[in-house]
Amino acid sequence: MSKLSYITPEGLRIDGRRNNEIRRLNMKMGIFNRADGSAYYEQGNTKITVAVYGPREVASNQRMLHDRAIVNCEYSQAAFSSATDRKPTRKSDKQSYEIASLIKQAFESTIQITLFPRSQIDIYVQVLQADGGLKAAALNAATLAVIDAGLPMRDFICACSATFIEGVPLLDMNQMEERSGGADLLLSIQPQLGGVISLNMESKVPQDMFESVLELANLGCMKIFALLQTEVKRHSADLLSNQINPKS
Amino acid sequence: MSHSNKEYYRATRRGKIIKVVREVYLRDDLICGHQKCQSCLEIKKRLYRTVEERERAESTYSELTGEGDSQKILILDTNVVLHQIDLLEDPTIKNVVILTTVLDEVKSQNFPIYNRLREIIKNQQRQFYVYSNEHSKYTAITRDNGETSNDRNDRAIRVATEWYRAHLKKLNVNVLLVTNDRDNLAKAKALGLDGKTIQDLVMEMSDVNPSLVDKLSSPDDDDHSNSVDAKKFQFAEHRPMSLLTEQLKQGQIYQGIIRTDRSNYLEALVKTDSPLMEQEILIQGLESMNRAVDGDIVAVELLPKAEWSRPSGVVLLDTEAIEDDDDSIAKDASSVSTAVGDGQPTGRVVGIIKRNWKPYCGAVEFKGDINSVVTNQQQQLLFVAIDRRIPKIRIRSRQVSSVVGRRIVVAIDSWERHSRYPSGHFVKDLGPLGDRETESQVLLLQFDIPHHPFGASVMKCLPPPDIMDHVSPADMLGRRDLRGECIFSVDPPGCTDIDDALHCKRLPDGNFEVGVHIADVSHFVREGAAIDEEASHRGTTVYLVDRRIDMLPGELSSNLCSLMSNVDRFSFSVIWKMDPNGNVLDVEYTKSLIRSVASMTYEQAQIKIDDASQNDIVATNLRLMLALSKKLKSKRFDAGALILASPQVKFKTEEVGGDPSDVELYQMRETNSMIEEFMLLANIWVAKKIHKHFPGCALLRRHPTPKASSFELLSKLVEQKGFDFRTDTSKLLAESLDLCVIPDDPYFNTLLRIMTTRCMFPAQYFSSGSVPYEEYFHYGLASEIYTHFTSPIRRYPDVIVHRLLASAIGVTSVSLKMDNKTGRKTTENAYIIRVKANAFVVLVPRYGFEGTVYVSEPNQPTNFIYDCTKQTLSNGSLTFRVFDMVTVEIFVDDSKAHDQKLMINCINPVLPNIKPKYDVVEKTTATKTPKDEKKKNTTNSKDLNNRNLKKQKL
Amino acid sequence: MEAFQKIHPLEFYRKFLERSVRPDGRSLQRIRNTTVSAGSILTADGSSFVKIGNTSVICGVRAEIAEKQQDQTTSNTCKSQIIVNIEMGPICSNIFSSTKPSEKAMSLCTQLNQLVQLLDIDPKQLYFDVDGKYLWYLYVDLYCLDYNGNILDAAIIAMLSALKNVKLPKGVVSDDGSEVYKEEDTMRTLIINSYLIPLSFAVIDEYVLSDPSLEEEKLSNGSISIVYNEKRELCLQLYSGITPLDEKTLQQCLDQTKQRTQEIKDLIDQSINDSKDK
Repeated sequence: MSKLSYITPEGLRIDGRRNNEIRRLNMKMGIFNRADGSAYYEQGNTKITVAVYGPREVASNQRMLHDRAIVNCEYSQAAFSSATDRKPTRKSDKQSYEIASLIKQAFESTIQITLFPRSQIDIYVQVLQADGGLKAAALNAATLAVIDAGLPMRDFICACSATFIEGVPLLDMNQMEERSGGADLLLSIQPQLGGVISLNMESKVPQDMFESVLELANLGCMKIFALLQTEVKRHSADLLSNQINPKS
Repeated sequence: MSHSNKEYYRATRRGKIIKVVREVYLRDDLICGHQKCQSCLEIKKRLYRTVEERERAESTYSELTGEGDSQKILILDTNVVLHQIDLLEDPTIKNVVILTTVLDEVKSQNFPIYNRLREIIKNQQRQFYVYSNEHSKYTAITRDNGETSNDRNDRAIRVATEWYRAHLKKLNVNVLLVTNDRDNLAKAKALGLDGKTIQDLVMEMSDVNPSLVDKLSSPDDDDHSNSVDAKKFQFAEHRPMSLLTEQLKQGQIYQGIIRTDRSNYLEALVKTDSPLMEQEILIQGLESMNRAVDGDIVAVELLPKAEWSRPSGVVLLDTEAIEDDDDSIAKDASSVSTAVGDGQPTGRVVGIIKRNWKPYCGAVEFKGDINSVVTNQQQQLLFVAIDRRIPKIRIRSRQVSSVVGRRIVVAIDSWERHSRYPSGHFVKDLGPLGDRETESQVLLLQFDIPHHPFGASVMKCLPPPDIMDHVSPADMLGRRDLRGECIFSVDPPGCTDIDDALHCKRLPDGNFEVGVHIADVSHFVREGAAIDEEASHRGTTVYLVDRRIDMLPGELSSNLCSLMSNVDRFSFSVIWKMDPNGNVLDVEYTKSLIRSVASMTYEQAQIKIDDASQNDIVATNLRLMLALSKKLKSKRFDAGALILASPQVKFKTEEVGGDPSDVELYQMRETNSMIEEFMLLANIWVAKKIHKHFPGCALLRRHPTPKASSFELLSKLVEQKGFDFRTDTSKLLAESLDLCVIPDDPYFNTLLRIMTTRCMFPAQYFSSGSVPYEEYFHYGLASEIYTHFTSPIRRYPDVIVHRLLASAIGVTSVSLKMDNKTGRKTTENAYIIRVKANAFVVLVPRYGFEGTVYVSEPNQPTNFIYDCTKQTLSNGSLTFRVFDMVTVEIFVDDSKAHDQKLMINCINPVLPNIKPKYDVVEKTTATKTPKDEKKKNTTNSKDLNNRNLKKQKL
Repeated sequence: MEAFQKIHPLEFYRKFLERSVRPDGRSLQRIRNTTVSAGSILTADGSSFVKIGNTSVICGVRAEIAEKQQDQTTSNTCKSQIIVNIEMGPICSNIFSSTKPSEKAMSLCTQLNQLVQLLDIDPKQLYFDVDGKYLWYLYVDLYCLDYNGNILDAAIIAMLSALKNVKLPKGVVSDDGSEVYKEEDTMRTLIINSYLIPLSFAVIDEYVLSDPSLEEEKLSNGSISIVYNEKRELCLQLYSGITPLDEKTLQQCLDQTKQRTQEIKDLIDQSINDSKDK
């Protein structure tokens, strides 16, 4: 009977954040042994693991490129990841393909693939828990995994989503806010070089509001970048100081 | 900020159980809202980097003030807010903290009260501050094991109060928890908090503000210490909600809205939604009504069939002032005569599902000497609402003298089992009884008519008053300059909002050009603007005796939009080319700029026409118009239009004081009829145009044909008077009405017309996509299609029609909201890929979609022969083969909102015997074969009324 | 050294095995470090994450309600109410393709489903309402994230701790069949009293290695898997290999597995207790 309001007049959202705050981030690099690079990434209640294999031999000779590496991405959501229904894993799901291709394109432009001709780089994303912001979290997690794999990249890839509900732009939505039907803008950037890798939005937003939503998403990306960078530095320092061979 | 997760299970509407996991971020940067709090000032400095940001943020809430004993900070509990909202609206209550716990509970329990609370909060002078205690690190709590959610909320309120007390200790501020829950108060005292009930608080404040006490409402005591001492009579207990839901599902009881009979307050009817009970259930007697008030949603149980009764037909008003409660109820029950025998389903109210109590206007009953009343002593009074269907309400007041003899507004709080009348409280005073101003106020309140002055945001939307002096070329885009034409307007005397102007001239070829020009309101009132929202909310201009409550501000309605004479004005024109017999040969719709040469009253125009000596251009054109209008009128009556009279009166007011002195009937002259004819014509033609362009979403107006049974009673009565009364068609009805004349009693005919109107359905607005074309018919005007176009200054639907028309002629673009409502049809090529016995399947290459086209109606014999081997379907003249190309029309059939279907019609070659499921009114891009014409005419001839209209159809 | 390992892995291994030791320093019977952590996936009704050495498996359980089928006899077991599925994709190793489920995954699925039937669960635990007209169906999904040998053990332990971690709400069915949930009640944990104690072996030549890593699995010419329950009853015994197995070796394997009982029980219990504190 009561209408759900996503942001109170006092400026607080349902979970208590203000409109320009991102959720709590938690990350860990180098969690899997088998893979060349791996990362575990949490953004609020969205939990993702990514494994990166590569550069390695191309699976089929037909697909091999003579001057650069192929980037291949697979995205899969665990059956228990969704809060509402149990969705049995369907690898050929259109949504999975779409997100996988988004990640693939992003990394094709950022990893220096010309350094690895005739080889293949595989990025496997496994979503363990889904609570909004999946594409952005997948991109961020994949960045960490690729760095862990030691693949040279031009810059980090930082992604963040923003929306416009009830007249207020909101940053980093959880699933309930995503479902509200406001515009869902996904921005992924190269924070240090300053370039935009992708900008997606699937809804109508009044033109004068679009600027503020975009700005907010940019702000979110920069915040995430700061945290990613800190984690990478910390992990590298750990590796150096422990001098443990990761493959035990 | 700390982070945790909240997990709980929830049942969805369909009964599925899902686990909900939500993040909870607890903040430490929420300010307490007190003006002088230093620590919060520090937080503010951290949050807002610039002074401007901070000031902007500060303007969104109101700050608390007050230190020392004289002023306290109040923290309210949910029930206090829910029950005492009228009291809280009193401006003397200030410095209140509303916790989000309380706010959320109020929102989920009673949304209107929540809205009122929000309004108070927005008002900065009231100093109500919202503290988000659920999100604050210091005051957020989780529910303990075994704690009910109510207990948890009470605890949350106590914890927040404790925090406030500690936080504001330095400033020496007194923090007070206000709750009526004894348990809560006790626990609060144990924590060392200051707590009071609302009654005590108001008592304390009563020396400063005595009227506050009257606004106290007295709901059921929170601690349920009802004394169930033996009162002689009690109403039956209302069954609990869970039991009601059970029984409803099992069909033992019915649900519906109860409607008290206007003339008998002890009788009511309940119309149920259940398909098993088509008739309305009768409720008779106080006991059966069991404290239901007109408008409530009630649960009704049927009495055994032997006890079924009939409406008593008695007029009964509650005239006795009953002080004692006891056997008076029994007395009333027996006073209602029950005609036993095969009667109407009768029942009794066993539970109230939803109360629909509103504030009611009325006055208190008082017998005796008012001077003998001791002031400031609380008295019990009985309030009588103006609406006779509402029972008397018991209120308490200390200010008896200020309440007696005045119109007041009272709200109902509760109706106890042992009480004859419901109890309520005083809300506000409107003015002395009988005073014209007061009674106008009452009327406006009763009918929910917004009559507040236009707000600042609305006034901001107004253009400068001299805007019409600077008409730019940009404004003239798409607009014709008709200032050279002889345009004039004819309106009632004293009319300042002139909606319409007309012109008429003879053309060289012997035909006439007639134009109707309507004020271009939609040029100034843009969709979505504040002024548009306000106008939409008001809906129409309301005309009272002494004043007019405008839909649009005066600057527009009486000046910039009004088509006054000798000034340039924007208008929307419909211009016809007609022959001397009133047949329309051509029509043009355009926006225009006009300059009226004369604004006359009906009387002045009539004089001009009748005075043979006046031969100026205006007089000549008036005469031409009159002649044409007569032709139009006779055509309408041939088709069956009705003249129905409703008592239209005009008040004559006194010179001084403005009180009404006399009432006279409106006099209809020829000029009235002339203007009416052209307005009707304009409305009809605009309806046709917008329907053509927006077949799915045009705003039209219809008058459903009355059922034969509605006229039964009237027919019998008229026939008893010796007249023949035919009601089969509107034409026959019109003829009958004309013949029913009593030479000695001229008023009889008018009276009969008035009563005939009462038998009919009211006309209604509708969207063209919601009913089939046959039902667009306007019975009273005998017109196939109709809308309201000619009065945008005083009617909002006309504004919508203006926007549709503007979009139809291409002057403006369709708004976003209409975007996906326009019924799109596309015509495409398709190839036959499969042939069956009664249909063939086509593939539309453009969209890659397949659809089935039936060659005959279901269950109808077909003359199509199916050849299985050759895969053809043929009826002699037409043959369909696989790989043949046809032209098809694809559209969405959304006549059933839940079941939208993609429909496909074959239009080339045309299939005989197939009625297109969607009425084809507009021209399609495919070639129109003679078969098409014939098909259209045959389907329409089924309707008797439409046969008459064929002559008018163009 | 590395080159030798790549060119002739079998010889490389034999050199170690002759000295009763493995390249990673373990003895032939030593099991890798096992960690279990339960309750981390909040959207699932029960979850767990198991690592044996580097082999990582994550398991999530989802509970759904359905009406009791008429043909289900009121037996004491809940045969078809727990459905297990395991996914092994290329994320864990390039042996597996993403589209076609590998044979290994499919056979693991079957084995796990069979094992789950052997768990001693009181059918009333899986009743949604008091009468048992509506039942809980548990879907157990396992994902292998890192494949480094001995996936069966990891999967079994993961499945078991996830199931023990499952929390179900209490429910009441109203008369017309819609399920109504009483918010006031707390969750109840699914009580499963049994444990499954697994241990897998690889046979290389005549050596039997417990808890094989990936390289060892690849080199082996036989594999043995044994699962006991806490009552020391044998639940699963698998052997596949080129040469037949002699009784003595088999007995050794059985004993080794039994010895592991307490350790596994402790691990699982610890993880469940930790998850309660979270």
